[in-house]
Amino acid sequence: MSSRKPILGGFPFLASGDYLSTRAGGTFPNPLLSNTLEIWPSCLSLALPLLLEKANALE
Amino acid sequence: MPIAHNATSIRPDLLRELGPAHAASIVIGVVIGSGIFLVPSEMMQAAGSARLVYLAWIIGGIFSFFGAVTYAQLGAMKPQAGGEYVYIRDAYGPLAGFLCGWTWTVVVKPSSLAAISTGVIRILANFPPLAFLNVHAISLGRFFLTWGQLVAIAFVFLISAVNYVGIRRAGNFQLAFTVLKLVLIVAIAAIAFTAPGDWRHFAQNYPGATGGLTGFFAALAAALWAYDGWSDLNMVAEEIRDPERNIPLALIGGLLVISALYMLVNAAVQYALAPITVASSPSPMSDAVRSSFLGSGAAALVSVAMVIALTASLNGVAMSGARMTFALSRDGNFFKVLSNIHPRFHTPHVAIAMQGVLSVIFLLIGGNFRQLFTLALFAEWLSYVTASSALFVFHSKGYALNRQFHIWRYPLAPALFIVASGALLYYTFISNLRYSALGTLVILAGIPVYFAFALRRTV
Repeated sequence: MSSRKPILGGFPFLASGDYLSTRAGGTFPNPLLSNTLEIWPSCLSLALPLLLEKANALE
Repeated sequence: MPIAHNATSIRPDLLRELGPAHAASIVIGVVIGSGIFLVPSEMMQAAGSARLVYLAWIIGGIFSFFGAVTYAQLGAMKPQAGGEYVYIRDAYGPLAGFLCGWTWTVVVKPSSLAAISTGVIRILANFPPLAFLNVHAISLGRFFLTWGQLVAIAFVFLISAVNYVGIRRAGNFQLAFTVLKLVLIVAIAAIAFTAPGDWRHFAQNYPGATGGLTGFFAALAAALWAYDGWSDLNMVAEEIRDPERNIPLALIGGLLVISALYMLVNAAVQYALAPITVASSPSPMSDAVRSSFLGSGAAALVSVAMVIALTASLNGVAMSGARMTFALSRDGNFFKVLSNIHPRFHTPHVAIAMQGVLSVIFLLIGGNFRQLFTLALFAEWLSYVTASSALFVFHSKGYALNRQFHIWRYPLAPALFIVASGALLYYTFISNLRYSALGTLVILAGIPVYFAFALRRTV
């Protein structure tokens, strides 16, 4: 008796062709990198920190 | 009785100008590309927990180490240009060697160069001032070229030029970019550790993972792919000083550095992000550093590191690929002109130029080299299995093994590496049946080419 199914099942990521783990990772899918070109560390920012409690407060 | 090497097949014109640091930089430089920053999410999606991801890295590293030990023996035994081509030729005959060299020359290396240079452009295009790389530069009806394609083509020519003007210069370029890459990776990992992370992430699970044995083996396959590329060193063996010592040192030492870096990057990502965030992130390291003290600007540093890493990878791939073509042609199995050595630079300049032109053709074809890359991966792992098995043939023929680096008792290391790469080859084939079958056809297409050149030699 034989089966066409691989012994341990299919590997979806091998079939997807994204190859993220290879050295060419990011070539085939869109790498979706959001590069903000700010060089000033946020910890040194002079702006007032956004208070989540205030931002989420209902009008 | 040991068999003497064919002295006439060794040309003195290639210069042994690469030292141990250059050799190690080829190993580290080629293996670590952009994947190091992206793979944690893929592995988490498969394995489902930090512990299993680590186990996959450790087992993948051990199997790759067995491969490196095997190639260290082969490289020390036959320090000639061409790597796998030489081992397969001498173990299984000229046709088998040619089929390996042919596939690497026409598909594996050019498509890798096209894929890596495109990766550089895709990463650069994410910087807002460079978004124009996605814009059409030339439009002729249905045919168009983006600025990104043009820059990728220029990049391939630049790297080919670096390799054209001397192995020493190409080696120095490789060393400089590899050192820069290592510094950036360590710095980025350190930045990620400043994020408000949690060590408890290492004990948590990702519930949506593939899981089970299938998930774990998928993660292991990803780790093996991430470690792939160290074998490129053997292709430039003829230009390495004291190869019997430096090839094993560079392969084994390089792989240890790579393993340590992969573990470090994974630890940094998993400390900064919860498993569910790692699994869902398209770029986990960028997200990890974004919450650090440097803020969102640090994510740009990750992209810069990816570009530097890919540049070193591109240079190493270009350097090694041309030596395979050169070795094939030197034996009279391909166009003789490709075995020419530049009288001043002492490089296989025609082979380097042809490899660059083939890569540009793939870049002009556009997005279709995803299939070529699938095909290349399949052919690569087939070569690893075959070349590693050559060690058994050489041993049976009476070749002496290099005892100085005989860390693992023969035949354990080559046997385990063949089992691991054979399994990966099987799953690559099954998962991409169409393109792997096409890859087999490309390999077999070399048979009439081989006989055409054999006929030319006899006429």
